[in-house]
Amino acid sequence: MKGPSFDLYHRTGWQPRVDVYRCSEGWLVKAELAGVAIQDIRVEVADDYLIIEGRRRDWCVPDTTESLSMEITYDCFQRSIRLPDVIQAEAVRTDYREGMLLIYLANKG
Amino acid sequence: MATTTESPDTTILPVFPLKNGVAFPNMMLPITAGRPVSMAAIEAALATEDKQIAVFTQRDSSIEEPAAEDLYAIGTQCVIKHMHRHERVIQLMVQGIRRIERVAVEQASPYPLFQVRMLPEPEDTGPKVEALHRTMLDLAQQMLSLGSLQSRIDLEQLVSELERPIQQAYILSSFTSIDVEKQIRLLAANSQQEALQLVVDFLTHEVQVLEVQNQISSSIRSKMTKEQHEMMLRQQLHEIQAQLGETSPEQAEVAELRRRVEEASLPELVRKEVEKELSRLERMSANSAEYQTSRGYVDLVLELPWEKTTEDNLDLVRAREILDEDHFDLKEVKDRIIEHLAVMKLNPSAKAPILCFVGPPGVGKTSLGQSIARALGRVFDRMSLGGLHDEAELRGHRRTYVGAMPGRVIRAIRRGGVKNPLLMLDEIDKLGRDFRGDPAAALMEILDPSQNADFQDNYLDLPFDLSGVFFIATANTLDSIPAPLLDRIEVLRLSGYSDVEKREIARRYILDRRTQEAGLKPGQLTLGDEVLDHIIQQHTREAGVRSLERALGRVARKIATRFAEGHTEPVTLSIEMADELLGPPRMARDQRRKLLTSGIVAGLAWTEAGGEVLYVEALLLPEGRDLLLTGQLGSVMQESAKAAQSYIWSQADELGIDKEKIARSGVHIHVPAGATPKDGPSAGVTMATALVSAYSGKKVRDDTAMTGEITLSGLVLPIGGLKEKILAAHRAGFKQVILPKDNKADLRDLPEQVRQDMNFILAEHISEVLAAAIPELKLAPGQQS
Repeated sequence: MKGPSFDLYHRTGWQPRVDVYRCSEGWLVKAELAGVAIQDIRVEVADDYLIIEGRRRDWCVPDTTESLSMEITYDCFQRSIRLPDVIQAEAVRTDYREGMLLIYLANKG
Repeated sequence: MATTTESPDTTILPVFPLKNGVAFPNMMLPITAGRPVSMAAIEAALATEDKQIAVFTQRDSSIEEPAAEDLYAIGTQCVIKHMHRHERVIQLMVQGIRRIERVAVEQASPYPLFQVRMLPEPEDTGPKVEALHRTMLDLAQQMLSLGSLQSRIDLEQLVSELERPIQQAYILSSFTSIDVEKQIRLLAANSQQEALQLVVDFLTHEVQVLEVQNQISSSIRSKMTKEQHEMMLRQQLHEIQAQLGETSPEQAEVAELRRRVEEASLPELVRKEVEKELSRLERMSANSAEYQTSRGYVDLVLELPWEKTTEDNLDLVRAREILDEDHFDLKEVKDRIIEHLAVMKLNPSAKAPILCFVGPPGVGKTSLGQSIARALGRVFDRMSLGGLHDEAELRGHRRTYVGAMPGRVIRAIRRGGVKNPLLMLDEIDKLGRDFRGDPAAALMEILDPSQNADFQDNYLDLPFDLSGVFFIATANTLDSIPAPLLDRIEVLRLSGYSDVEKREIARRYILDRRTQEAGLKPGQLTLGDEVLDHIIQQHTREAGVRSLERALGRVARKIATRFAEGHTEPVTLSIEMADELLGPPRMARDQRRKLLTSGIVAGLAWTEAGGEVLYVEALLLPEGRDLLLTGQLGSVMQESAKAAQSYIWSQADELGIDKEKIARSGVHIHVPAGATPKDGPSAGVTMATALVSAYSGKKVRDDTAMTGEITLSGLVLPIGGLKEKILAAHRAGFKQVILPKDNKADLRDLPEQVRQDMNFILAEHISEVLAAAIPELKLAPGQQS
């Protein structure tokens, strides 16, 4: 998955919430990324870290004259999760449905 | 409106003008926006998919609609994280992304839109940066330990989370009270070294200020502890004294009071109470306000003469001598005093009488009290009740009040030092009364012989026996004394003196005293009777002798001046000299008018200052019909005039008055002096006589004065104050006085001299009055009832 280049300086935009499961053949990580376009998500594995980053853009700006409230952050996001075992980078499979990003990780070896 | 990127490092953003603050990269900044220009900029930013806005700080925070040049050229690109619109303002949470620089102004209104260039984050390193970084962290640590740095940031966390020194510098600067201009310089710094240097300089200054601040507050603290230390030492001193058996000054004072209580002869009840108070006193600190109050109370109780009395001198002969020595005549009063002495002699437990001397000013009421005290051998004290309107003045204030004092009675007893003084209550008729209470009511308890044996003073709060006190009240009139109070006291009237009595008083008492006061030797000034009479009659007009005493004092002083100037021969004062010294005779008004015309009659009136001659003038008005009354007459007097008029109309034939005349003319009655209010029924007879004289045209005898109330049927009723009235008539030179027959008994009170000088006609009916007053009047037969 290729995303736009990220500015390191701005990495603490927001953090998506995640669920982590241990499965028989590896790990499942679910990330809540509602409204994020799939091309704006990048998943990376470095050693025993899983890094999810990207940017949420507001792709549905309504044609209004006055905004009353804004609680959803449209900004870069980054989340890194440390996993106990070293993961095989090639064995990462992702699925993005209904605003949830599912990441399947296989155990090394 | 989308932010389109013009070149890789420039972009166009809506601009938010920020007052009093700087947004730094990476930092969250809460903003409240209320201005239309900022709200429009926010709306524009929210309409983009990135929600980005450029925050530029205003140079002058008072400008409401800043133009591009009112903003600093360096700002921060921010992303709006949250936003809430309230009624009139928008609350925002923005997070800084990076530093930006204004390149061009794309739009000025409704909100500014700038083309900005993104500035790189300074990344320079080196030993200098390292050194400055460490210094900065050191200073921050110092500020924390000195108790500053808002919200107590955790430095370690700060260092671990933000590894770049410049980020730490940004955070630190926002946590201190560094001013906006310096913050902008920090934001504009293009190298870490420059930024860190700025923060270090500022923090150094802050630390110095904090250190001085701490020094000041610690010196204050050390001063406080010094005082506490002294206090502690003093307490220790007390304990040491107690253990050594030494007594502190206040303990010594209480011991002294206790000794006095043991020595004093006090009733059992009082002793108990005062001992209770003493034990309270012992437990109190001498510095407390209550200690002083309590002490004052014990002092009072000890000073009061609970058992101490003076022995009455019961030698009747000596007493009469003393009374005669001090006062002329006043036989009735003197007899009463002698009677009391006699009773005391036979029955020592008899209660002291409560007398009230009533009379005009200057007749010697107060000085009589003094000589009674002298005759009895009692301690004399007097208090003036004139104008007293607070009950607490007599009965005292309860001790719970600040500044409480015992009442005047208890204070007088304390001054006198005995429980049976002679207490003079002057001017009892001039007691005031208001919302604070009625002092007359308090006097009732004091003056009631059956109640005052245990008089309760609010301050003393113990019964005190006043039954031994000889109370004498004085008053000018009884009218203003409440009846229940009057009921408790024995009234003795001192009426005015006649001219002869005054002459005697002057000769026996005043003259010697006044000449001595002026420094004259006996024999240097002689006054004959005729001169004294002249002064009494022409230079004074009063019931008492006060003005006379002043006039004689004046004469004595003027004569003394002559002696002091070298005159040596003794002076015998003549009438002319007296007039020369005292000025022309002033008192002609009270003289008898000679050769009266018809309608003018001399009446007699009573005032608090003695009797007075009052002329009634009646005049027929040819065209009128009504009865006109002038001269400030009160309603009783007016009614009395109408009664007189009605009587005369009904008896016109018998009185020989032409009825036509009555029908045709009105009548005007005037009583001079017009400015003085007059009232009372006793001028009825006078007005009737004046009317008869006016209608008949016959003159009234000019040597006759009259008084008496008249009824519609012509009866003459008795009146009061006869003695003063007759004395006034005598003073004015009348030879004959017509008075009601029922007042005959009062004639006995008159001085012998006056009785001899004057002719009294006692009348029962108005016809007798008219017959005596108007010699020419022909009364029809049958009128004489």
